[in-house]
Amino acid sequence: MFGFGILRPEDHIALSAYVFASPFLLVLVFGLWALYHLKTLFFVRQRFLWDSHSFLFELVLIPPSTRWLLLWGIQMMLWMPVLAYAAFVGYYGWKLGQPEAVIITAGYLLILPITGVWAYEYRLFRPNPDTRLNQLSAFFNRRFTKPYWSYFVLYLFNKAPILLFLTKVFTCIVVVGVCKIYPTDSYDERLFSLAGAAIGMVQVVLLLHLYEFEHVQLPMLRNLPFTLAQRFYKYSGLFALLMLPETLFLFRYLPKGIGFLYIVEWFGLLLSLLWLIFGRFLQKHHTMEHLLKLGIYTFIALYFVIMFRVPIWGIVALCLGSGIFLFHRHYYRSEYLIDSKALDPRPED
Amino acid sequence: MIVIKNLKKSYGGHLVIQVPDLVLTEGIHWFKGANGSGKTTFFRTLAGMLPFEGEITLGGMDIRRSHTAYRLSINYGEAEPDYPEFLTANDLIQFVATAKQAKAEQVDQLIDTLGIEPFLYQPSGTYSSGMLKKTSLALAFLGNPKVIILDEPLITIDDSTVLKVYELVRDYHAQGVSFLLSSHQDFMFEKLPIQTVFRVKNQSIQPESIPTHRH
Repeated sequence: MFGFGILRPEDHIALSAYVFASPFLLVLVFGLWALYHLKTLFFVRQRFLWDSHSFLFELVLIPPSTRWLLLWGIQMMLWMPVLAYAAFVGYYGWKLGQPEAVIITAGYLLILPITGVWAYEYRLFRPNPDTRLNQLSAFFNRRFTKPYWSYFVLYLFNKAPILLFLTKVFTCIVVVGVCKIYPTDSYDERLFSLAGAAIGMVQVVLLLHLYEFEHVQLPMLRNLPFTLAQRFYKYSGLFALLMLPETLFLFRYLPKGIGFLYIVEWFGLLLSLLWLIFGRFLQKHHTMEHLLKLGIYTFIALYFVIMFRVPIWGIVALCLGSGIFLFHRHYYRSEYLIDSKALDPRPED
Repeated sequence: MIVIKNLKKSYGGHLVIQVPDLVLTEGIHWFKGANGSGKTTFFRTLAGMLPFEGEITLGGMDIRRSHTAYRLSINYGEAEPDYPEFLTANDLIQFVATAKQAKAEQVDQLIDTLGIEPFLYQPSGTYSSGMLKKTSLALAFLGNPKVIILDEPLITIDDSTVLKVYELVRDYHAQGVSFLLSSHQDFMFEKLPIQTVFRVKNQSIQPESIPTHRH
């Protein structure tokens, strides 16, 4: 389903035949649909938590059978993209002689939404989450104070777990992929540099979340008496933490012929790209559309720079220098603006 | 103490507040104004949280040149605080206390005075608006600031906490701390030794006479 707009219809049919014939791949697809299911559950849960949606708790006054039907209807509407796609590939799976796999898939697609009904029912009758899990977190909260660098990571786990998971899965697959491809032909280190550039650019959405998180939920940061150098070290530490999974995967699957010095340069490339992107956020408030253009153009520029054998340390120095310049110049001028009209340049710019 | 010159704050071309020339001397200053009049924007700008056009100095420290010293001298308590739901009051207080160089005794005293202990280790996502307000008030009093800005400090808190906030303001004021307070109602701070009253209206700030029925 991820490639719905990319693959041709015949590719989808071929893919469905392949998936229905392989139990492993079928389970993999079920797993992806389960992730989507979780996303819909989080979406509805968030709506329950909004003050403006508190009227939804009046649903408890409706007879149970009617309420369950309503909740099931809501979940099925959210489930519609999956159902439509599954019906499409299921039709061809049946025609291609895989009825058992198609029946199992149909059963899975009908049963999974019922867990949504159960989850919403649970929330409706427990509007104030106070569970044993909270007691466990209270135990840790009493013993440990969360450090600043953990705030954004916890935010991602709480607010954007699917985005975090899929981003890291994708980037780690890219790392493993280039590590496996490298020994098969006469590639050089530019292969890793290109992968590093792609991985850096993919983080742009995570950095958008960081920018929003700090402006919306922690505006007090700009009232705290940290020097710009202290703030630089804090952000650098956070960026290093965000890039840790990819770096660990690189160490784990590192092919022969790649030196330690290059790994340092590669890690520097990731950090410098994050600094450059973050600096651009501080310089100007971006919409998602601006953001995607920015990411694509930067990657194209990096592609040519890398292919023309510009030294990685040179790219690192340029990106890091630009990022630090933008950070130094715009940190206190940065402002989170919701109105799109406010995206016009400010007079002082 | 606070000198403001040619301050202009706009959001996307829409002027929110304009202050050509204003000097706030030491003392307690009360800013009145209806909802949306620009009080919060003005306060956030003074606290160094928003970009602006013009000049602001505090005790000779320029907000743009003396980033750290300025921010060490001015604290801000949010009108409607909204913290990351996974952070506890303890996480927030310890983080800000370290940044503002507050002593452990001061932290304990504020937690005790404002009645934060019962929910100190709970995630702020479970807080009522009053609990969030108490947390934001504690953060605003941390350290040794010269100025404390309290944006609508008395809304959503119970009567006993209101009295404690009055006491805190009086105590800190006695130690030389100045206050900028705001309210959208006209009857909030009569019990405090208010030095000047300002009306925030029509994107500007004008002095007003001090209410005579003080207690």
